[in-house]
Amino acid sequence: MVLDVTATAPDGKKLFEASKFYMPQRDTSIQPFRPKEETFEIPIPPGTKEVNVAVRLTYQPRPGNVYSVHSIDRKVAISP
Amino acid sequence: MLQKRLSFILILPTALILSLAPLYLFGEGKKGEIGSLKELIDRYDSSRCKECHGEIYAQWEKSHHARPLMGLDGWIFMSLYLKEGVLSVKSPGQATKANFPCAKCHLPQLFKATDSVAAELAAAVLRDDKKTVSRLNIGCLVCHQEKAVVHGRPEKTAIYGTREVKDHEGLPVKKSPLLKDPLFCGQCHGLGPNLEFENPVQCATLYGSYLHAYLPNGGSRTCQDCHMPGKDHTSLPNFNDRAGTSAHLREALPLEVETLGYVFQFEPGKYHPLAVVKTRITNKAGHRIPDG
Ligand code: HEC
Ligand code: HEC
Ligand code: HEC
Ligand code: HEC
Ligand code: HEC
Repeated sequence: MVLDVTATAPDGKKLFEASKFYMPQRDTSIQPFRPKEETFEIPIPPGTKEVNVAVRLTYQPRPGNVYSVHSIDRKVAISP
Repeated sequence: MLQKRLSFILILPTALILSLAPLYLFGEGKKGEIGSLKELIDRYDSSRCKECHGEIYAQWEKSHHARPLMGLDGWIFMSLYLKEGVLSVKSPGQATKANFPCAKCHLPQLFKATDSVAAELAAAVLRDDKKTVSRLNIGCLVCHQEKAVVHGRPEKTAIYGTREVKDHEGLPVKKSPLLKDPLFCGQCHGLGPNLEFENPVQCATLYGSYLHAYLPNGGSRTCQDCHMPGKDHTSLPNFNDRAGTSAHLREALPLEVETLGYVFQFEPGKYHPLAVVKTRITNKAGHRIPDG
């Protein structure tokens, strides 16, 4: 299970990219009754008024087979 | 001429002996053991239950239990293990049951058969014989007979259900309390490494997660409650159904996203715009996801 977060400027320029891996091998799988919480702090170039944030959760139970689980997009206004 | 004839005569009995050899060497095996791959397939063939349990049969047929030696899209994954690594063989004829520790859960009935059946299976796997391999599965009798009893041995002349049906066509149905218990599924869905084999293997460990991460935190549902609602034998997820699996997972693993954009003054006159993204994934299943 992989969580990908990317942020892009209104002109499409990529500002940020990070992934979290939830895997049984390292025992970082998602456990019942124990939600996985993450916080991403994304520095934005001065003057940027808005960024697009894309959050994707995908599952690859067998190598090469990726299933989309969540795909959430948000526009984030940078208020002074 | 004479010489030719002689060799012909000599060859004939030798050929006969050779062709009979497998029978004498492995064919019979221990008393009652299944002696051919065909017999193994026939003995556990689920189609004889189809006539009266058509709906359950149709559900089961779609499940991963109906193709436990096939990965996604019909790939026979055992070929990899028979070709490379500790379970590999130089030729299929060398294979014995010891080459199939995976059968403990993927094809438990193999252990009712002789080593020659394991060799036949290895040959079918290595020639990518999908027609034969797809008929080897976790069918009705694997669950309703073979795996339905853990204290003592199941009777060969009975089927086990959640209640007794004495006048059941073919074999009588006896009641097994195990069928409704998570332990029933746990026999194959794993606790950790399987150390009883010459070559220990580890595959599914999900039952361990159920016991250690779900129950102690107050989880109270059984595998059957969640995976066989209304006795449905489809046993979702079905990874060959991509859209359905995605939809199921979306529901099982809700994702909340919170965002905040702001500018803070680090030192007078210096502004730092920042976007903060918080994610929270909850797991509503009865075990960790993924399981490995
Ligand atoms: C303790 C029982 C057990 C043993 C032993 C076992 N498996 Fe599994 N295996 C399972 C179960 C149950 C699943 C499906 C559930 C899961 O993935 O959590 C599975 C899933 C798989 C899958 C994915 C199936 C697919 O459709 O792609 C492969 C491949 C696999 N096993 C290969 C093997 C091989 C090879 C071995 C032997 C080296 C082996 N397993 C031994 C229980 C077992
Ligand atoms: C993976 C194991 C497994 C396989 C394979 C399996 N069953 Fe079942 N079956 C169960 C379990 C467990 C139950 C009880 C579920 C419950 O009561 O919650 C059950 C219940 C049933 C019932 C009772 C349904 C009812 O309405 O009370 C019938 C009939 C049945 N199975 C027939 C079959 C037939 C026919 C096949 C083959 C096509 C089959 N089963 C394959 C595990 C299995
Ligand atoms: C000729 C029809 C027929 C055939 C063939 C048949 N069954 Fe049944 N089976 C029934 C009927 C009818 C019932 C329900 C009896 C009742 O409701 O009292 C039943 C009940 C059952 C039950 C008990 C369900 C429970 O509540 O737990 C199981 C298990 C079962 N069958 C399994 C099988 C399996 C496995 C096969 C194949 C080996 C099979 N049956 C073949 C007609 C059949
Ligand atoms: C005889 C061993 C056995 C028993 C008993 C058994 N399973 Fe399975 N199960 C397997 C194997 C092996 C697979 C993987 C088959 C494959 O895809 O290669 C599997 C696959 C599954 C899957 C599909 C997901 C996946 O990763 O393939 C689910 C869900 C599942 N089983 C649930 C159950 C439940 C619930 C029970 C008990 C009612 C149960 N199983 C009983 C061996 C078993
Ligand atoms: C509280 C409900 C619940 C319980 C209890 C539960 N499961 Fe699951 N299980 C789920 C959900 C939800 C999923 C996510 C995928 C789906 O539903 O398609 C899942 C996924 C699975 C998978 C696929 C695993 C993977 O890594 O992708 C298997 C195999 C499985 N369960 C077997 C079992 C077995 C065996 C038990 C009992 C030991 C069990 N489950 C108990 C709800 C449950």
